[in-house]
Amino acid sequence: MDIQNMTKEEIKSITEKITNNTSTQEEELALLKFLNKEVNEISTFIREVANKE
Amino acid sequence: MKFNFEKNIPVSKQEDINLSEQTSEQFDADILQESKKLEINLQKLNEEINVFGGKEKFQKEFSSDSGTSGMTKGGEEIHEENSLSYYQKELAKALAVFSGGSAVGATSLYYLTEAFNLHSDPTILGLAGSATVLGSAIMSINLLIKSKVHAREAKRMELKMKMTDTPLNY
Repeated sequence: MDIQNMTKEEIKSITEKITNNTSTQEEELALLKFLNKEVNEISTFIREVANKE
Repeated sequence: MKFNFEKNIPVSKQEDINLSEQTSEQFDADILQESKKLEINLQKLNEEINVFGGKEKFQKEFSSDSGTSGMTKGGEEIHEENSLSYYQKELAKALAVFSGGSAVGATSLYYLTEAFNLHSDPTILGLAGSATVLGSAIMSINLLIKSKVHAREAKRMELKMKMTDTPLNY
């Protein structure tokens, strides 16, 4: 599963599966990787904004 | 066909089971590693927010009209609200109010799924203050996944004990 190319629908579907206890390990890993990527990007973004000030 | 007479399981079948267990264990190890990474990254994000000037300043900055355009991300100007960058910024706002404390219930995951639709409906986060819940939802999903890993570990342990004919009560 390529987290770089996951669609929003796929992310949503995995999140729902996790809630419904029907997710696979691969899906759980993919979602965590996706969230890590997002959080990292946000951190970088904040750092950039802070450095500009 | 070879048999493991002690267990009455064909050797090839037993190898399949072992391989499957190893794969499952490896997946869970990777999941826990990624989960730990997420906790650290969220902590780092909170630190970035503090460096930026704290949550109040951060929320003010990112909630203002000027915060939705003219910012740069990776050197690119953000002009459109209806973009992934906008969504990420909304997510950042949500995380800004997240204190890293206790997680809310699994129902809050609803808000996380809603956030993933933001690029097509950027007004959602403007409603009902769901941003506060969103930050907790990320931790919530992390905890939920970890609990699944621990449940699988317990199941594997139980299976191993059964296979070695060890009574579970000892």
